Amino acid sequence: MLNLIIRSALNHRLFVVAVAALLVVYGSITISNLPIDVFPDITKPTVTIMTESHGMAPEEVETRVTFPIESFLNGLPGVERIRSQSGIGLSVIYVEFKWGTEIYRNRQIVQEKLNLAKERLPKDITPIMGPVGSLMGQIQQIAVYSENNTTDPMEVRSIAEWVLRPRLMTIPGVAQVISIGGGLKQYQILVSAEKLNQYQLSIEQIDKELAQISQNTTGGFLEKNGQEFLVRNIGIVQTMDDIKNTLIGLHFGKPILVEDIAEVIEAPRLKRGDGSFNGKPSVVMTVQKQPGADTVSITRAIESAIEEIRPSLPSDLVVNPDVFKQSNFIEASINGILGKLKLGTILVFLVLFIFLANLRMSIITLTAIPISFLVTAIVFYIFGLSVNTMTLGGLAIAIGELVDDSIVDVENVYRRLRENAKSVHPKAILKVIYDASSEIRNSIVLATVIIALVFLPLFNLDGLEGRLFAPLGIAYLTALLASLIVSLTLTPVLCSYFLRAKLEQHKDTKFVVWIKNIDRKILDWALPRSKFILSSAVALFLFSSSLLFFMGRDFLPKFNEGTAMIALIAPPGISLQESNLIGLQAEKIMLEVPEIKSASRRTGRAELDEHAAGVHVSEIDLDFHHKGRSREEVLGEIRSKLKEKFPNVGVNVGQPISHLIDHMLSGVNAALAIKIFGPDLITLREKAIELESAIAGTKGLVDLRVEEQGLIPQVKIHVIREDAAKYGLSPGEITKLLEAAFNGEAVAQVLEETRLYDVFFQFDKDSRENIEKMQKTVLKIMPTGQKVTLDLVADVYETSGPNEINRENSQRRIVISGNVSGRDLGSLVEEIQAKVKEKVKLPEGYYVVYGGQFESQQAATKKILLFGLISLLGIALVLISHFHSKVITAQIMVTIPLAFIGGIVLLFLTDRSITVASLVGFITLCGVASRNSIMMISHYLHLMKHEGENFSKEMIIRGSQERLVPVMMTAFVTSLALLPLVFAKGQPGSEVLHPVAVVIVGGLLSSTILDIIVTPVLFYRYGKKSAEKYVHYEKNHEQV
Amino acid sequence: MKNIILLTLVVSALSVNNLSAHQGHDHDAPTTLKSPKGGVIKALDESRVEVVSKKNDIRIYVYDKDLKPAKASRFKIIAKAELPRTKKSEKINLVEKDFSFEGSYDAKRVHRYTLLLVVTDSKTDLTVDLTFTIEPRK
Repeated sequence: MLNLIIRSALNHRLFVVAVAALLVVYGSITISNLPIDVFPDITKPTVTIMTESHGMAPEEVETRVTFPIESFLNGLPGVERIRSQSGIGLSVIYVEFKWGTEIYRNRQIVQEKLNLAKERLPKDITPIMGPVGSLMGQIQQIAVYSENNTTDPMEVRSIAEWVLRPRLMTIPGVAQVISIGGGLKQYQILVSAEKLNQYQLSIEQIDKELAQISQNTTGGFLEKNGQEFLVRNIGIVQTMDDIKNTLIGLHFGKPILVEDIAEVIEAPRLKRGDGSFNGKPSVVMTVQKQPGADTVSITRAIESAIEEIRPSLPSDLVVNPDVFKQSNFIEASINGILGKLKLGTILVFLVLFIFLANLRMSIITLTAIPISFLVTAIVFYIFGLSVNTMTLGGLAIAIGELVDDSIVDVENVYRRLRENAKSVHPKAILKVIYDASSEIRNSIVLATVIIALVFLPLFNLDGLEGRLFAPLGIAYLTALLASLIVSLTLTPVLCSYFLRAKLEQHKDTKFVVWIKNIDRKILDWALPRSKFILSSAVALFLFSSSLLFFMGRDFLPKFNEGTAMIALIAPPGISLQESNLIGLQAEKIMLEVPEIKSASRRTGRAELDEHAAGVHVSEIDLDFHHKGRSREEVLGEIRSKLKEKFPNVGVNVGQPISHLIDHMLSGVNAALAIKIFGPDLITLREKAIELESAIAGTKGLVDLRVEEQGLIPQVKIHVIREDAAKYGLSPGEITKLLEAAFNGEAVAQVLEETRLYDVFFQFDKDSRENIEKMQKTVLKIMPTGQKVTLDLVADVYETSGPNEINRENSQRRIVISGNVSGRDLGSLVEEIQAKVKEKVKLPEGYYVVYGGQFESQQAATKKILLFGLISLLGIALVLISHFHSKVITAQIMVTIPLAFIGGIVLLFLTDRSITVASLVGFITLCGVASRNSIMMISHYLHLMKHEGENFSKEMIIRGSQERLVPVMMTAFVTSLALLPLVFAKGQPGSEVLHPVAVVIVGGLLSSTILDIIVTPVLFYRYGKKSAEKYVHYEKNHEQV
Repeated sequence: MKNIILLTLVVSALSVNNLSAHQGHDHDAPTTLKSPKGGVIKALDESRVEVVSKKNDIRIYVYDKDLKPAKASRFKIIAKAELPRTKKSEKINLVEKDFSFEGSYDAKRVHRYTLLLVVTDSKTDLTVDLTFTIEPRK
C-alpha cells in the first residue's frame, strides 16, 4: 500500500506537484478566513435560569422559587451539577451539563422541565433561560460618560440603551449588550400617603385605577361607502400630562386626578447596580459575543459602528471603546506565538543548512512545513476549529517532526543516489529514489502511529484540560499526518527533480565529520562498558525523579491577560450608595499607582445580567501601562492599600478570564474553594468562620474570605390573620397592596419616538421613610368611613435575614475561598486539609468539599497518568507486532525514561511546578523519544537485512553514525523551534505552551545525548539474539 | 485660671466614667461585624454580644473587642422576652457556661418576640441594654 503510494507519486510527478500547489493556494486563502481566539472553546455546557421574584427575601426566593425549580431539574440526563443563588428578588440557577453534551439539546430538556416547574411557582413568576453563553463571551467594555457633566446621567444611559445598544446588537456575532450605571429613565407616579388619607382613597383603589392608565383597545370595523374602517380606541399614555390628568377616584363627587395625590416625575429606575470609569460615574456597556464568533473582527466592527454614531452624539459625551478589549489579549497572544513559529522556522532552516550543507536538500526538507501547516488549516476550516494559542502551539511542537519525516527520506535518497552514482552499473534514478523511500517508509509510519497512540490520553480528557489540549493534539497529529503523506509523495518527487546533479562532489560538512568522529570515539569507549553506561543512565533517572518531590503542583500555569480584575466585597446590607462610595475610593487608590492606565467599575447587578451580584459587590477592571514594575508587585501594592483602607471589605485580585475559568470550575471566582455543606444557615456561617480562622495565615494563601452570606437588616410586615379578617382583608390582598405601595410596579409604558419608557407607581419617599409612617398606611376604607391602617392588621418590625442563600446539588452550602501567591496549589491544599482536619469539628450532616483548580488538577493528573499507561501499553503492543521481539520493544521503550531526565531537570530549573501542561509535555516526549529509538534500531536491522552486515560492534557504530545526523537534526530542529517558547514564560498566549516546550526541549536534549550512547550500548549488549531472529523472520516472510 | 481649667477637665473626665448604666445602642451596625457563631452580634464598648436562637433555645456568646471568646463570668446578663402588640414581658433564666449563656423561651404561637438583654461588663463596669428580635419559627 505505502509502496504503491510512493510508486504512483513518482509515476505522476507533475500531478503531485500540481496538487501541492493547489493545496498551497487553497490553504493560504483558508487560513485567512479562520476565526481567531485566545483559547479553544472552553465553555462547559451550562444553562442559566434566571427568575425575577418581585423583591422577595432570599429565604422566600429559596423555598418558593429556587427549590421547586431545582427539584424538577434534578436527575436530568447529562447534568453534572446544579448550583443556585437565591438573592433579594432574584433566583439564578446554573445547570452544568457534562462536557461534550450538545447545548441546544440541554436547553430543550431544561425548557421542558421549566414549563412543568412554572405550575409550582408563585403567580406571575416566570423562570427564563439566559442566552447561550461562552466563557470567553465578554469581549469588550465600553464606557459612556459626559466629560463636563453637561449631559445628565439618565440621558447618558438613554443614549447607551436606545442609540448605541441597538446599533451594536446588529453586528453579526454580538449576542448581548448589557449596560450598568447612569439611570434607566422612568415616569414615576409618587403617591403621597397623606393625600390618599385626605381624599379617603385606598391603595386598593389606586392600584385598580392605575392598572388601566394606559390602554388601547379595538372597536372592530365600521362600514361606510363600501369601505371598511378599522376603529381604534386610544387611551394610551403619550405625555407626562396624560398621566397627571388621569382620573384616580372621586371625593364627594369631585374627580380626583393623579396630580392631586401624586407627584409625576421623570426619574431613574431603582438602581441595583452602578458603574464608573477612572473614578467618574459612567455607563459601562459590556458586549457579549455568540459562541464561536470571531472576537477580533467583532471588536473592529464595534469600533467602526461607534465611529459612525459618534458625530450624532452630544459633544460632551465620551464613548470610550478601549476600556477592556479581549481582542488585545488575543492579538498579543496570537502575534506572540506566530512570531515564535516564524523564528522557529528560520532556526530550523539554519540547522538544516548547517547539517546538510546543501541548499536543495534543505529546501526539499523545509517544503514539508508550509504544506503540512496549510493542510492543517484546511482540516480546521472543514471541522470549524479556530486558530488559537493551543492549535498554534500544536504546530510549534510539530515543526521538528514535520521536517524529520522529510529529513529521513531526503537523507536516505541522497545517500542511495550517491552510491548509485558511484556504482559501475547505475540504476534509473526514479528506481533508486523509489527503493530509498521504500526502505525507510516502515519506520516513518511506525513512528507516526506511535505518536498518534501517545496523544490518545489528550483526547480522553474531558474537563477544561481536555478542551484546552485536544485542539493542540488535533493540530499536532493533523500536521504530522500531512507531513507523512508529504514524505511519501512530494518529497520523493522533489528529490527526483532537484537531487540529480553533482552527487559525487558532496561530502559531509566539517561539522558533521567532527561530530561523527566524536560519536565514534564515544561508542568505541562505551560499547565495551555497557554496565557502567547503563547504571549511570539509571542513576541519572533516579536523580531526576527525586527532583519531582521538590516541585509544586498546579492545575494550569498562571495566565497573563494584560489586565486585572479586582473584586471588592463589602459587608452585605450595605446600600448601593455606600458601596458606590467604597468603589470610587478604591478606584482612586488604584489610579494613583503609576502602572495603572485605567479602571472601570461595576457595582451590583446590571439589568439583564445573569451574574447575580448584590449591591455590596464591586468588580473593577484594570488596564496597565506597558512599563514599570512587575504585575505581581503592582497587584500586591493594590491589595495591601485596599486592605489598609477598607479593613471590613473583602478583596479578591485576579484576571477577567482566569476569574471566569475559576467560576466555571467551582462556581467561585478564586483558585481554591472550600465548600461546607449542611442544612442550617447559622451553623454554616459559624463553621465557615471557624474554618477561616483555622487556615488564616497559611503561607501562600491570599484573598482568603468567607462567602458573604451574612445577615442584612430587614423590615418585616407580618400580617396578623385574625386582625386582617376583621376588616375583610386576606393576607394575600394585603401583601399585594403593600408590594405596589412600597416596592412599586410598572403600570404602563410611554412611547417617545422609538424609545419606550415605563410608567411606575410607588409611594413617595415621605410615605415610606420610616416604620411609623409605613404603619399608618391606609389599606382600605370601610363603609363606615373607618380607615384600615397597616398597624391594625400587621406587626411591622425590624429584624435581620440572610442576604443570599447558595446551594449546590440541592444542598445549602457556604464557600471559603482564596487565591495562591508565591506557592504551588497542591502543597497549599495539603496543608489546609491537615489544619481543617485538626481544628474544625463539624456536626452530623455537615461536610467539607475542596474544589476549584485543585480539584481539576487532581482529576486531570489521575486521568493523564491512567491514559498515559494505557497508551504505553498500546505502544508496546504495536512495537511487538512490528519487531516480533519483546527485547527490541523493551530497548525502544527504555528511551522514554531517558527523555524524562532532561524534561524533569529543565522543568525544575525553570518553573518548579508540575501542571497539566507539563504532563502534556511529557506525553509528547514519549512519542518523540521512542521515535528516535525506532529509527536507530530499525537502521541496525536494515543494515543486517539489506546490506549484509553481521551483528557486530562495527555494524552498530556504522548504523549509529549513519543515523547520527538525522537524530541530531531532529533534536536540534525541534528544540530550536520550541526555544522561543521556553524563553516566553508568562508572556500572553505562551503561558500554557511554555511548560510543554520546557519539558520537550529538556527531554530532547537528554534523550538525544543518551540515545546516541545508551541505545547502541543496550542493543549491543542485549539485542543480538532478537536482531538475528528478526532478520531471519523478515527474510523468510519475504520469501513466503 | 489654670486651676479652673484643670478642675473642669477632671470633673468632665469623672462624669464620663460615672456613666455606668448607659442606654444600649449599637456601636457598630450588625453588618460590619462578622458573627463567629452565625447569629446577630452587637457591640459594647469593650466587648461583643452575639445571640443565636434555634427554635426555643437561646445562646448568648460573649467576646472581647477583638472577637475572641470572653469568659462568661466577666458578664452579668438579665434576659427578658417581650411579646409584640401586647408588650407583655417574661423573664428568661440563663445558665452561665464557659464563654456563653444558655436559656430557653417558648413563645407559643407568636411569630416573634423581642429579647431584651441587660448586660453588665465587669471589666468596664458598664451596663448596657440590648434588644434582639427573635423569630422562633424561622
